[in-house]
Amino acid sequence: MNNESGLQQMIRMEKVGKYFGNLQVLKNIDIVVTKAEVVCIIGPSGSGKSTLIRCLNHLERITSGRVYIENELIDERVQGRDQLKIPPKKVASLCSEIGIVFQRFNLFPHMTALENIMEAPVTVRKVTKKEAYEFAMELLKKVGLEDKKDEFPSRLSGGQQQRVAIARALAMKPRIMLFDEPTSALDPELVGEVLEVMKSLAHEGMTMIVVTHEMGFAREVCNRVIFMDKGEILEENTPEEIFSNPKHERTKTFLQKVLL
Amino acid sequence: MQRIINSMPALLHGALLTFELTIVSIIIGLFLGLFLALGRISRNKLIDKICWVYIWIFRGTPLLMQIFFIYYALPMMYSPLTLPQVPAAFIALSLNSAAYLAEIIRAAIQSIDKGQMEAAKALGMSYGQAMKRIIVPQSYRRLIPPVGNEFIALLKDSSLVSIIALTELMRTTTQISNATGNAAIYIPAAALYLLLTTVFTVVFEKLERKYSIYE
Repeated sequence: MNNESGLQQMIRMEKVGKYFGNLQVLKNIDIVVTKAEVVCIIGPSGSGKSTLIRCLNHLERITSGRVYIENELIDERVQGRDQLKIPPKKVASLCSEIGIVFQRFNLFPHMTALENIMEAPVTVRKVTKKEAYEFAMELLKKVGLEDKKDEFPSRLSGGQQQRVAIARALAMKPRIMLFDEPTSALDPELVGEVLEVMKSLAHEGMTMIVVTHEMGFAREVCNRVIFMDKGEILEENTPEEIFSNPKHERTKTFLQKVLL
Repeated sequence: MQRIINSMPALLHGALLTFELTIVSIIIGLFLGLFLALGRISRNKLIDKICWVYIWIFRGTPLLMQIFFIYYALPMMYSPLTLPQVPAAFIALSLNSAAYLAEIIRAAIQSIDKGQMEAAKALGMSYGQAMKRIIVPQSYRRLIPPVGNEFIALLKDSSLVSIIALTELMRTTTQISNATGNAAIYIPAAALYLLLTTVFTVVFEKLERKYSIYE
């Protein structure tokens, strides 16, 4: 199914709300992301950016609204009540279609870089070891770490760990990649190598949502920037417009602070 | 002195039974304890409650009483449950250590960073796959020191089965001392206990190093 502009919709959120107890962290979120689009979400910490993308692969469950992935309704809630009751098996297979890269990498420390990448294809998709190995090596090459294949994560720098984490997510051949502040835990000199990998992914046509504080990346790579504050989307526009001509007062204040 | 040397074979025989009781009970205890621990962290409230009650009973009553209960009281209440001494001792020690080991295992599993379960789930793993491949293997290294403690405690507590006339190291020693009127036999017996605990302390240190390679 296509929308008016003829582009395939990969993600659609309709009137999504999310509460943690009494605290409302997402208010009335409406988002559409089309195929091969790279969308950056910026905003002050605590604005609900991470929660928003975590709702897309069921790491958080929404309280109200609807979530569609590739036009398939995957979550619908009314006042916290699940309207769909998707079986856990289906949820797991949906999750494996959506890759996520975490701020703190979350590599499996008891496995080498190579084993980290091979684990899910072998365990979840039942791919043969040989096939998984070959694809994993291809991915390690892509992120520039084939010589580190037998290292445990503790022996890798933060930037290398994050690149392995990206390769691990790509091993499941996801159709959407989510990035949850992928460079926020890195030393400044290691940020570039991770952004390079993300940039090349974007150029290959991967659909991406990136929660980030890297304004340079947002300006250069993203098709669209979303500004969030206090659980709401306040402004949504091309990077040029957002950065040079922000409309909302809070966007202006935020950008003034981060672009000093 | 000669009497002590003459009684060494009997003493070693007792030590062997102590050794067997400890090893077998800890292995069964670990296995049972893993399931109890998974039950305690299960989202199924009923399974959680059942496991909680098990642990509550076996940690909350004396081991000596549990041994008595299994060997004497059960057969009196229901005669088909009559057990010979050796199986009764194995069962009592295994059931008891399972309760302690369950709490050790639960703590180790729950100490694993929450991001690990999230990463596994995001890759499409089921809860069971994530537990088996990601969470439980990471808990091994953290388990080793407290399991080593439990092992040594169990080795010494196994002396309690002498109460049902099982001639492990402690009872053998008492028998020899009574028969010969020579209490000096307690010295080599203590040395044997020390030897066993020392051997296992070393084994557990080795294991800990082996599982530390990735840290």
